[in-house]
Amino acid sequence: MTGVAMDTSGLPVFLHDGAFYQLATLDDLAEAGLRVRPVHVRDLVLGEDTLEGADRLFVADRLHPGLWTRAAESCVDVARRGGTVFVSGENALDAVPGVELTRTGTNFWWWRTGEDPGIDVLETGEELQRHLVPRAQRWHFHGVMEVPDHTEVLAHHRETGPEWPAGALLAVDRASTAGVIAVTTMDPVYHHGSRFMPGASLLLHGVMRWLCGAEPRPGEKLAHGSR
Amino acid sequence: MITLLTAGPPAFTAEGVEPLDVYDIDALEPACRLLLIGMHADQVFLESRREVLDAFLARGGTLVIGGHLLRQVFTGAPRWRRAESTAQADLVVLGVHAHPVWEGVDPRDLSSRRGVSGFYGRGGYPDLPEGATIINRIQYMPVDVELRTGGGRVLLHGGNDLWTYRSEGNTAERLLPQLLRWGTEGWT
Repeated sequence: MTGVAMDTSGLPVFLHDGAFYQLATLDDLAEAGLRVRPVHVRDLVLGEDTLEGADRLFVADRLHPGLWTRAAESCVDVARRGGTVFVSGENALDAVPGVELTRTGTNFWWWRTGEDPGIDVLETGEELQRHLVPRAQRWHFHGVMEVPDHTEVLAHHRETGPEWPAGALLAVDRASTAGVIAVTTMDPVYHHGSRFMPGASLLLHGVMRWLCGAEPRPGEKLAHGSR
Repeated sequence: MITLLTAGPPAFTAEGVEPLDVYDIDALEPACRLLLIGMHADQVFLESRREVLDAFLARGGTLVIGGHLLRQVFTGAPRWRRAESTAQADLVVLGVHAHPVWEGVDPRDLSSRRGVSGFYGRGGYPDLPEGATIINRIQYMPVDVELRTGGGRVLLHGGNDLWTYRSEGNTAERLLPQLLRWGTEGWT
């Protein structure tokens, strides 16, 4: 970076692995004025970057599985220290306390055919949900989760066949650690950064505003930049 | 030798295709002449190892890259741009120049999947070097292009990887076998 060095130490961390959709999303967040500190998961694993001092962390979906496996505990540690962590979909969830992930098929066509995808958005008092219209929480998913009883489930899937068991799709756990762990089986960074799917851009915008401490603007999408 | 650069479990397996983790690219075999890079690959890392891909092209290799190229992973790499409209009705694949990889593939089989458009591409590479061949476009954006650069060949597909169409149940299934055949033609 050229020009005046900015202190980024107090910003939410955006953990990524250099895939194009993550890079595009980082550009869009900057354009939207949602400031984050990008941390490359490989740098974290190699000890060239750190989450020390981070109190808010967004883990992008679809991280390189070999790197994510080695980084996951240190990410959950942010919540154990009292911070807030959001883990996005298509990542293994072995390190997340009390969560069991079952991967599923993906019904991406229901909105064209008019069929019921089995997704229910549950109205809760959870602060994250003040940032999200129902459409942000109801598009598609890649898995379902069993979560601890004390967890607030924001979006849930009803069983719709053997390939599609019931389980949580978006949940916030404020009890398992000293902080907050939110987790989803949706993959908004991939779809937003691929210039795909309005629901993904709505979810991403809401989650990032929540993490950035910005006032809720539910229904506003993260805008697509020129690339 | 054909190498599939991976970012996790290999997206597909085929005879003669060797998977190699993206972070092991320094170990790319000199015998590799066709290198496939999927859309999930770390472009920040690949850009930091640009000399590996440049050397591969200088040896006369064929490089295939899916996804949206946003970093200079090889010298002179063009940059992907979003199409003017990403509305469903506007994401129709239009053929420009015939190419062996797309022989017998009906563009309609690429344009939508179960009625949903956009998987194949939502933009492309508007700024191309001299001599580039535009194969398909979406609106005015070249989504499939072939370049001759640095002594080798580069095939760019600016959308979901071509090999994700291998079990499509229509003519799009021809892409992967034709890609492997085209990429290895004339090999002894």
